[in-house]
Amino acid sequence: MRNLKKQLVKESKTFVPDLKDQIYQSIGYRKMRPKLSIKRSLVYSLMLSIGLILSLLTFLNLQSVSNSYVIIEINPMVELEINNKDKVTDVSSLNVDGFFLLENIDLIDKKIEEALLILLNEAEKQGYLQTEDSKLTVSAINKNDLLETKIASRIKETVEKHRPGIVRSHDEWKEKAAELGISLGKMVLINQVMGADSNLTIEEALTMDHKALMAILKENAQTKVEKFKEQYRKNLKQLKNEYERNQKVLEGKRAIVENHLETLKTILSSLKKPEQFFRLVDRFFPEFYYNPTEVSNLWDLLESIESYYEEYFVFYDEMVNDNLEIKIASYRAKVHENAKNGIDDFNLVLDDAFWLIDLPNKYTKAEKDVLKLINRIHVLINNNYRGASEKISFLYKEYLEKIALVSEDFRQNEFVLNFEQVYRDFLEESDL
Amino acid sequence: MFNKKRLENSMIALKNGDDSQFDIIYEETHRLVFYVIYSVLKNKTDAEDVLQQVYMKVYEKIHQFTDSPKAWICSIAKNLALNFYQKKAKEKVSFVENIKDIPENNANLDTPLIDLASRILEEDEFNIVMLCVVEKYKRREVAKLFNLSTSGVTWKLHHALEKLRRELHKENEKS
Repeated sequence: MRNLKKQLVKESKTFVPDLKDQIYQSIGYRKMRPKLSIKRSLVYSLMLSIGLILSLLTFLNLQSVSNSYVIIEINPMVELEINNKDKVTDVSSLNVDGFFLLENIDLIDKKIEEALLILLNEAEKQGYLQTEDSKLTVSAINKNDLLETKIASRIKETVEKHRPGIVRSHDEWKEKAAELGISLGKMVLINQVMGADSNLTIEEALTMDHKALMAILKENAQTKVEKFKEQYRKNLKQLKNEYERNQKVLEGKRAIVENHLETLKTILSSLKKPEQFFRLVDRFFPEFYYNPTEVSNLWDLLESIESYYEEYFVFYDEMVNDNLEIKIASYRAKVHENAKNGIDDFNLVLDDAFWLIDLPNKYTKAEKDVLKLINRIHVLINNNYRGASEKISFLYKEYLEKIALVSEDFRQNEFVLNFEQVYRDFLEESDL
Repeated sequence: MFNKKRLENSMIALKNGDDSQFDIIYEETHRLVFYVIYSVLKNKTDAEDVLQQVYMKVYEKIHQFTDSPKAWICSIAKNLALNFYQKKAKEKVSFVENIKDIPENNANLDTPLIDLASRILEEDEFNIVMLCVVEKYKRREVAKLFNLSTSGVTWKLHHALEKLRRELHKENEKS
């Protein structure tokens, strides 16, 4: 028995192949690049140092001139810092909704009036301030009371010019501010800070300057917003990773097909029996369907394999891109909608919808459309959020139109049948 | 022998986008994966093809990985091997209908004992022999991988080695 075991161990050394290189090629994985040479790394370090010094200088410069805060509260709540030239030097979101409001706009270096208009337009674009009685509050805070009043009236004027009657005043705080001997801006700020930090007393708040108060407000908001931002960015990165992986898989598949085609071309002229050729075609191109008895010319067969895969890869590429697009759109829609409705669910559900089935034919236009629609509906179902149902039923109607145009074989494919089951489950759950 | 934690960490890192971990994952698992595939297909060339597919699939589907890396990769390997087997069986039928098939020679001359083991042992017996005897896996690890009890693995290992010994004896007598 010991000999038998020894023999097994000995044989196993040559038995298991090492296909590392081929596998790495097929997934497009490259080993880490060698380290940079000293010369190049020196240049890079120098460039990095210069960059750091420049950004530090810019940062210090901005900090030194920044002297007012403007808080805008629609439902999204954002804070702008402006310098003595009335230009925006920094923006922060004070709630998750605020993050979305700021996500696609750049307010830095804009004059405060221009920045406010950009903000208002973006808010309207995102579905806020839609009704006649929509209101927003704006407040300005500066250590100089006179300057604060001036800025407050300028921003109110700008907003009112854009939408008359939209600004809700802070009149209710005027009396209290006068009583405590502080500016209206500081009073409003203290109120907001005390709302965010219930442990803070009015006496403590009164001893703090506007910068310290603003720091507490930001810190409290940031705990929540940063946590969300981190998760949001991580999820977006995960989607991009998934996209890159799919692209690499595509590149790998393309490289393998090209290699196999080259091999077949090289041996074709020296082949004695077509059966040998068919064997290789079956092995190399399992997705490609043909009938060996109908093949009259092997070169023609090669050409049709080439064109089959060309089309296959174009579609694969389309699917990979479509997949990323719909997932990002769906995820953003979900978190945005949840933030608006105060729902604390910002998770991303990755799904298995993106899957190219090995059909024994080229995809028809309708089949391609069906696959894309399945992918889209799947993503929406998995990331179900308020408002997604409408989109899903709209896309499903389109799906029904397209599925009527495909072959019975395609309709009976496991992938399609699975999807229909998923859709039925979704409907049942929605009814519940 | 495998370092479970190291492999698990590499899988999680790959899931988070660190492609450099693929090297470790491959090194830690490819022998096990090859045995699993081979036990189904019993053909080295086909097993090599499927081995490639397995790692492509691992790379594609890494976002679905949750825990037990070896078990997860093994289930992918087994499914792909079975798909390959079924596909090939179908193709063979249609091929024979049209063209006279040339018989394939699957024997591995360099590894006669493994070849014999793959022919006479059941799928799980073959895997247990290769993992316990050759790869020095602990029996409870193998039990976990293939969803068996440790005593079940012990019994199957004993039974498989005995079967192999008897068959070898018979072949020697014949020659």
